Amino acid sequence: MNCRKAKALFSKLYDLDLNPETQEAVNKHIATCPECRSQYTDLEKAMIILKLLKEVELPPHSADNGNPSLEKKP
Amino acid sequence: MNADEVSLIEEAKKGSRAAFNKLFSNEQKSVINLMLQLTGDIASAEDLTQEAMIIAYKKIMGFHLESSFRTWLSKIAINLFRAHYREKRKHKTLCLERVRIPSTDDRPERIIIKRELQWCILHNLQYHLPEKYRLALVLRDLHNLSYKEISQIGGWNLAQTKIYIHRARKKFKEQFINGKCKAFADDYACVCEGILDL
Repeated sequence: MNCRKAKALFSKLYDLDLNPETQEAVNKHIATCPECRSQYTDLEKAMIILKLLKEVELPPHSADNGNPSLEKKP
Repeated sequence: MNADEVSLIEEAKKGSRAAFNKLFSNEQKSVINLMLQLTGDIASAEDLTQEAMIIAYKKIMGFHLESSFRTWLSKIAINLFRAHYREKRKHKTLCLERVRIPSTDDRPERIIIKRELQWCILHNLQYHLPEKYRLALVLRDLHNLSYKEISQIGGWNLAQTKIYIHRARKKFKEQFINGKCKAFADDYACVCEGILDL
């Protein structure tokens, strides 16, 4: 597997959406190619950072009051 | 879809507001979050969610359980988002005050850096990712939806969906690595030991 092919499969690798043979080939390439390893690590870091947005807190009136406003604004 | 949800949907179709309210309240937080992640603005997120609720209530008879109620409701909200925001987007400063973070953390430096980082992420999503990439990324990586669910919501086929997710992640990563987010992320990693220690 070359760098171009490996990079094209990064997203599927992250989602574990590859067949076992392809997954093994990409992992093998990443293990031996510093540039691809660095790029895949950056992708994983970026995804961890993105997930910080899950922790954004909504104002109390938005969703946690358990009282949908259908009755108020039909 | 579980039996309770199916039962509530059937009741709502028969005209039960209580059943509809229960269905909606189960998904309300998820939809507001989704709209916030797509618009970057809590007031807009609340307005779009409110509009989506009214449309869902009117159209519940046309919902034939092809997907979960959450997916169906999210799709309505996303269609509203697309209609309202497609042509209106401008590169502007997001209001940091509107991005709230949980107050359970007792380390002020962590709160401040995390807040900056969340602002950066929202900014990147809003202004540096095309709408379809933003949608694909948010649904996949923040709402953990399957490829199939994302393709239903986005109106894309499975192959397109996978391509959009791939390109969105790549673009977000490049923007993140090349932009100011990286410095905040490094600071955050320093303060929150181990979180980025891959």
